[in-house]
Amino acid sequence: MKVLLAAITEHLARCWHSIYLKHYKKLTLIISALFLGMILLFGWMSAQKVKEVVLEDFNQQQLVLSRHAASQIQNSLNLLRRELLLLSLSPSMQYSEAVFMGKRMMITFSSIKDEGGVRIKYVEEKTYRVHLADADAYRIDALAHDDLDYLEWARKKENKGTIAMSDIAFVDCGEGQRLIMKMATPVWQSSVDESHRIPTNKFAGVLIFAVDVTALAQKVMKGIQSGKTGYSWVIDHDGTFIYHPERVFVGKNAFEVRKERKPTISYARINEIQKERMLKGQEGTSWYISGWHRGKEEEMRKLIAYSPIRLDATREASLWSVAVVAPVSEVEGVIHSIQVRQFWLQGVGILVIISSGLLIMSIMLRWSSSLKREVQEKTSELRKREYQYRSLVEHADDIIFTLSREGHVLSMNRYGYQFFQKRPDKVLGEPIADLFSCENAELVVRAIYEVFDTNTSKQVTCSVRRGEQVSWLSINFSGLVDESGGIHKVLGIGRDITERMSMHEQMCHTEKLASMGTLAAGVAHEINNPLAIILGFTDLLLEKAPTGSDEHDMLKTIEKQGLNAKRVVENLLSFARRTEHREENVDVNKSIEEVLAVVGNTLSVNKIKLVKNLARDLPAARGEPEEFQQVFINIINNAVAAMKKGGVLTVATRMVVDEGRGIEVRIADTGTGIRKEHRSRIFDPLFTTKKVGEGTGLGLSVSYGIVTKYGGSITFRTKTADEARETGTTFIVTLPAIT
Amino acid sequence: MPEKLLIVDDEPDMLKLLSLIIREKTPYEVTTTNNPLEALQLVKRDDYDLIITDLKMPGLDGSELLDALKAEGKDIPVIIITAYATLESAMETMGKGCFDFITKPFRKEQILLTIDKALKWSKLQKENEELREQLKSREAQQ
Repeated sequence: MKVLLAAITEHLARCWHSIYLKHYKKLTLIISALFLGMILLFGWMSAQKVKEVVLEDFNQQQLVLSRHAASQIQNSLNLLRRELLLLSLSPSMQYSEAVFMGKRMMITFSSIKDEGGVRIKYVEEKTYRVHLADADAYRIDALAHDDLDYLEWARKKENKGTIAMSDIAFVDCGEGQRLIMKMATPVWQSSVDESHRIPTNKFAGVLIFAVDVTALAQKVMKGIQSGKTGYSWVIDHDGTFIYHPERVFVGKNAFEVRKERKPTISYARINEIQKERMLKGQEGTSWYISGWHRGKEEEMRKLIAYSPIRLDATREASLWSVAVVAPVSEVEGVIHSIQVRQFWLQGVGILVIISSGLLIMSIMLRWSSSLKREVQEKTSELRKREYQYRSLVEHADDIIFTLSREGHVLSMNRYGYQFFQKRPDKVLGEPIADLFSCENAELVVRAIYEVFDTNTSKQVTCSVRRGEQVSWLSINFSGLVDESGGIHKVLGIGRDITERMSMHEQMCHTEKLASMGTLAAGVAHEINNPLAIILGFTDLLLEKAPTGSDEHDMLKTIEKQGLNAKRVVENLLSFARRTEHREENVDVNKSIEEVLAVVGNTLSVNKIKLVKNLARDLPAARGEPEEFQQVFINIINNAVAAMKKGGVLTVATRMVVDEGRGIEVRIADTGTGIRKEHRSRIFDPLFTTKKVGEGTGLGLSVSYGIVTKYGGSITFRTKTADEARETGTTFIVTLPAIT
Repeated sequence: MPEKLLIVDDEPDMLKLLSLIIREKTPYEVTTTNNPLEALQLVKRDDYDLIITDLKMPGLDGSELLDALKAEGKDIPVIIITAYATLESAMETMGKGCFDFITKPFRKEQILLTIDKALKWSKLQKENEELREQLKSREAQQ
């Protein structure tokens, strides 16, 4: 499970890494673009802000201008009003002093002439005579229609001391139409002079100023210029233009004249400003859409600052409004150049950033591509090396495996699975101890702990049972060190030493037999001497003892036993006498046939059925036929002894080509089998399971000596009643064939 | 005059047995010793017609005795008896000129026959030599 999790984590990390690498460039580009975009946006926003601030400042300046203009006009109006009142208080006017009246009126006219005064009229109450003073001179004029209206108004006592201001209207003044406003005040005889020492306080008439409001306004307004092309205009409380740089507008209603001029444009904003703010006496700044400016005709935004002029403090509706306007483009024009410069600076900056970024990126790309190439090379090299190691491990004829601290198998090569005859899923993650028998498992586990604890290699030899076969393993355990220097795994390399072990066993056996042979030779020598003496003297005595006497019988017994002993010694000697042989080509089948002919009687007596299975065209073997026969007789004798209650004796020969050409002779019985404790000793000289006198215990050891002398081998397979239902022993004699 | 036989064996009982057989069955005179070194002295002192010796003995074994006799120039037939006969030892001693090789235990007939054969062969050798001598002297006289 852990392994699976680790694999998934590793896989995810690898995937993420590849995705990360793949999108890294894209991500960088997007971030850079966003960053640059934000810079541009902030630049634009700050430019907009600057524009707003500048526009606001500009408009504030316009407001100052408009306020100034309004106060100027107000001043002019005040002056007119003062002059009017002053004239009405003049005794010459009050008492219609013919000589001075004209002069006085001309004096006043000269004062108001600059403020737009066009003429001064005085209408006498008593005579309805109209005195007129204008630019030409003082004279008596005819009574006009509205003169009587003013007279009537002035006659009312409550209007004493007040000034009536008429609406503006176009009046023909001889030099064309002029926009005229009339100011009137009643004249009462309230002042004194030398001829009138006591005022009569009678109503004398009405004094009327005709004022060209356009001229009045123009005097102030023409000097006002906002920015380079900005201008100002004045409207009265109806919205009629009192003054406008475009003369055609003067005297026309602002709400209508604009629409007439360019009906395609919406004047909602300026109309709203005029109606809701200007005509209500408010002061302020704003902007509106206009269709023209100083002869240029197009839709444009204009900044406007406006201030009211109050004609009469007592009357709310009696007001004018001054407006100072300038197209936004004028201000923007100034800002624009700054912005353009800023934009260029920004552009250059961004360009520098982009180009340096690109440069860095290209360097990085080149660097990373060379790095990538290097990594690829290294990776392929590593992969190749890993493949080499892997194939080395996988194709090794050793069991190679790694273990965790707990002794669990982390990995194993193919040979390992084959050796233990287990599937990988039954081995991986499982304790290594499961693969061995109890005592060997303990040995292995102890070795693993020792390697982890002491960081030294450890060699263990242990046996493994695989089915019926027991194999031997020599395992070397060594620690695998990680980066921190600690052991994180144990590497085990196990070698199948079964063959070596069996060879070793064989060698031990051979050596044992050789030493036995030497011993036997010694023993034979020591025994033959006394035996020779005993038999010699017995022989001599036998001649002396009469035949049939007790002494003769006794001596015969001694001789018999002595000869028995002699036979034993002879056998011993023939076992020991390895090197003595004369070889010839032996027909093994023929030797067997001869032996079977000899033992045929014995077999039938013992109720043993003979099965012969001799191969045809068997090659000859090198050796002594008598010796081979002795070998076969020995084995068959043992088989007969093992089948006390009868059975089957199978004798088979065949050709084998497993390891060089050879002749295999199998002699199988259905006897009792060889008991486990005897199996390792059956080739030992003098070892016998037979009763004393029945066997010498030399048969198999002598046979072994003979067979091995000629380079053959003799092995056996046996089953006792404890092990299998069908018991019996099979001896396999292999003799090298003549090639 | 009966032939003189020298028997050498480190085992006195064997000496006893062999001398008994020879004395009982033959007219030959028997001298025995269980010391092979003494055997050499005896050979130097007396003329023997046959030597029967064991192969394995302490001090001087049968093979060495053969060498010693040859060194002394004694051309006496030697029968070797041994309890442990190997082909190598047989070949070696035969090569050194021993008359025959008998393994223990032996039958008395075997030893008697071999003695007989050896003495006959020795006698023939001697006669042959004498005749050759006579022939030589006769040729010299003529």
